[in-house]
Amino acid sequence: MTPQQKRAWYGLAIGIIWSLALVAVFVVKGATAFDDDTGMRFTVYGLFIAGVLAYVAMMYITGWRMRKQGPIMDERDRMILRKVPVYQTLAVLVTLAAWSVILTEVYHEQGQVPAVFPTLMFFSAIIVNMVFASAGTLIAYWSDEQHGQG
Amino acid sequence: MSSMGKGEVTNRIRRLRFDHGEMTQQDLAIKVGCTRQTIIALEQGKYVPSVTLAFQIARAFGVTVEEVFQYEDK
Repeated sequence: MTPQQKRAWYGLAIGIIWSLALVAVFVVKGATAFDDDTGMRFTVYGLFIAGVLAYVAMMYITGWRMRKQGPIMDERDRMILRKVPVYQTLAVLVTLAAWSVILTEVYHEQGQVPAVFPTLMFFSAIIVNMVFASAGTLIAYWSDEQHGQG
Repeated sequence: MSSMGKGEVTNRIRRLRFDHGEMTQQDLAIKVGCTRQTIIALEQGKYVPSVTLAFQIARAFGVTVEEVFQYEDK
């Protein structure tokens, strides 16, 4: 496993825990409580910032530790990692499409959606983007191992 | 007009490592500035290096690029 793959697994673990924690808050409190419940809003903002900081800290710490053992990225890694933004973009587009379809269908009768949803769409796009930075890395390495002769 | 068919690049890195005092993949990786996994991918024929890396590997063994890498038409 390359250093980049190890980092991707750590990143994926952080991303999954982060996503589950945010989903849990919304499941327990209810999505529409976000507008009225200040405590919930700050919990969500706090979790959101904590997730980003945890991800950045993981990248920094693993990079620092791995550099002691030798190069952590070379030309093959760079070639493989060039595919990752494609997976990230695709995942974010699918997420936004899902939000769009679900909100349109659920709130079609009312003709408007609660104000919380644009915020949730933004959070989810950021989270999916970060999770797929890791998941996309693992997919890209897996794909390269299948095809070979880069 | 000549046509170049799809070929395959093979190499003798594993052989050369053993000929050079059983040099480890990690030692070679550090010498040429790449990861051990790239050396593994090269030895398994799953990765074709850039010209720069090919020269660095050849230089690490003190041989020419042609003595490390071969191109074979399929």
